[in-house]
Formats: sequence, C-alpha cells, structure tokens
Amino acid sequence: MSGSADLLQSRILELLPKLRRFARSLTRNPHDADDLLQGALERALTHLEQWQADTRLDSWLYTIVRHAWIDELRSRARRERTADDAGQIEAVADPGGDASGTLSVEQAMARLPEDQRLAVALVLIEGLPYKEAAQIIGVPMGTLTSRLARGRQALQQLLGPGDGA
Amino acid sequence: MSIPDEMLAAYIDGELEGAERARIDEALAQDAQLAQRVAQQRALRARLRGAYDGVLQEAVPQRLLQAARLGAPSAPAQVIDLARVRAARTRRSNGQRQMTKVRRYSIAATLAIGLIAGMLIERLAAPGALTELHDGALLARGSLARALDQQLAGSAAAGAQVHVGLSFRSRSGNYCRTFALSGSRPLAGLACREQERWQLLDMVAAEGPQAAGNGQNMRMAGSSLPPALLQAVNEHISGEPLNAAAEARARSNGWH
Repeated sequence: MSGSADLLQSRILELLPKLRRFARSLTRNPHDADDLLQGALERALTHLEQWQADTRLDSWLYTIVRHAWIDELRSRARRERTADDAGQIEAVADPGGDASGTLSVEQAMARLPEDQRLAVALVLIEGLPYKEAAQIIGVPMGTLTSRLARGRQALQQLLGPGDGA
Repeated sequence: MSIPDEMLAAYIDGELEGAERARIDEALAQDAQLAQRVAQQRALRARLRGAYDGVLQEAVPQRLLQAARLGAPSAPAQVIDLARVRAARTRRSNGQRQMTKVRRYSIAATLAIGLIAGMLIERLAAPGALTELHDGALLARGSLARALDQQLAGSAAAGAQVHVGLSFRSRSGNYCRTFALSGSRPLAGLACREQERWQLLDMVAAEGPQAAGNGQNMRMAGSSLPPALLQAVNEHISGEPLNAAAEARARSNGWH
C-alpha cells in the first residue's frame, strides 16, 4: 500500500552512517552530531513529500542536516555571544605558526569558518561532486570551489605536511 | 606548464574528464613538482577521510534508527494509511515495543487519527453510515457505496453528499476511485474494489467536492486533489486515469 514510503525509509536507514559522518564533521563532538542528525531526520520525515524523486536522496538529506546545523549555530550564538567565538574566527583568518602541525584533524576542521568547513565536508569527506555540493550549500559552483580552495589551504597550514606528503 | 590550484583540485576531486584530465595526467608524468602538489592534496583528502570514516563502522544508535523509522508513518501529514494504523494498533496491543517508539508513534497517530477518525466516527455512528468495518477493512456502504458504484465523474448533483472524481486501474488490476464527501468537515478519499466491495484505502481532510479530483482533467494544469491524496493515487495507479468512455464501460461491467 505504501511501498514507496517503505522503500524510501529503508534507503534513509542505509544512509544513516554517512549522515552521521557528515554531522560529525560539522559539529565538534559525537553527541552533538547525533543530536543534530536526530533533529534533521525528524524534519526530513515530516516533509518527505518535499523530496523530489528525480533528485538524489542523500543530497536532500545533507541539505536538511545543513539547515538544522545553521539553526543550531544561530541559537548557540544567541545563547552565548562570548568573546571566545570572536577569538576563534580571528584564529581562522590567521591560523598562526604555533598551531601548525600540532592539531588533530577534528581540531583543524573546527577552526575553519563555517562555509569552508561545509565545502570541505561535502567534497573531501563525503565525496560529493561539486555540483551536488554547491546545490546543498545553495551557492554557485564558483563560490563552492573557492571556498573549497581556501579550506584546503587553511587545513594544510593547520595540519602541516602530515605523514603522507 | 603551469596548472592553477583550482584545476588541480578539480582533478583530484574527480571533476575533470576527457582531454582536461588527460592533459594533467600527462603533465604529472613529466613534472615532479606538480606530482608533489597532487600527492600533498591526496594526502590531505586521505587524512580527512581517515579521521571521520571510523563513524561508518560504528553501530548507529537506537535513537537515530527510531527517528528514521518513526517519522515515516506520520510523514504525509494528513494521510491516514489505514493498513498502517491497523498494524500499529496490533503492534501496540502486543506490548512489545519500546516505550519511546510507542509514545512517539501515538503522538503522531493521535494527531492524525483524532482529526480523521473523529470525522469518520461521526459518519459511522450516524444513521445511514457511509462505512463499515469488516474483517479489519473499512468498506464503503450506503450512499458512498452507491455513488462509487454508479456515479460518473462530474455528474453529481450540486448538493450531493458524495462526489466521485477520477477512476483508474490499480497495480493489482482492480478499479479504484477517488471521492469527496461534503459536510461540515469535508473528506476526500480513495476506494478500491476488493471482493465485490469498495474498500477505503486513504482518507484525508479536504476542502470541498472538487477534492475528488477533476475527472479526466486531473493530470493537466494543476490537479484539485489534496496533495496527500494525489500521493496515494500515484502509489496505486497503473497507467493513466480512465477517460469518460472507459469509466462508463467499467461501470456497466460492474467494476470487474
């Protein structure tokens, strides 16, 4: 009777590990990531009819996670307008020599500005094509690629050459 | 040859094809410095994946599985999928489900059932009820059953209680028809032929008689079916809705 809804649901279940990875790359700890994803799933499943069958289901879900994350950031900003956050943004603009090579990947990701982190998460971690990533973020391709380039550069500086290079 | 960073990034990210890709492949073979840049970028990518891929192997927490499973029943906000509601009722009476699941399902179901069932019960209880429960299936009776049997799309009198909309063959080959019930709280629904009766599959809150769908025109410029009912139709329909001639033929054959 609702075969298509059941099918959709099982496809969403299959995507959960990837969605968790995405949420984890945006937030700073696993609990926040799962909270974020839980909220996003609830949104997604009450708006299933908005998903268009000719588009990628994963992209649609990533978009919802991204929206949920932006809402979360906004409400955090309202809760705590601390000097800490401002300090972090400065640190991103100028990562500084002292941090170079001494950070974990998670710490380095946390230091990226939000727009760069999203681009890095979608393309470098989730492995999405530029076109999909740009649609999820809601920007033109050129904007995506320049954010990605800046994100890569910042990560290289923050992480140092690493073992592989 | 100088290759801009963004092009190199596109190469690494698998965004280049054909000639562009071949050009960089070729350059890489000859330019050690370029090869070094590529290796660095690949290493960064691998490092990022390495840091986050672990989560793919972790068991997904129960609360997320539940969130993914539970949203679905209430998803098309106003649809009552009767089979699912019955199934949920059975499950609940089995008492095997975890508390959160039961509670959350109940909230969703209560909202939907409260709305629709209130309206159904009103009509079930009323003299000349339009539906009856039979072996767990909700069947049309009275003037609803008569309209589904006899009424051709668009032929209902202005003040009629039941307006039949479009007719079609379901994927299992049975005839189905949409209808709208007027009244203080209008409903629209989908009924399909099962063992010589009309079985109600979906009911949604509706706006008025036009909610049955505008006969043959429903697939043109904007259907008047409520979205949730349209979705139900799309789930069941095989091919196109019947045209007037096919509808009349089906009626004279007793919807067999």
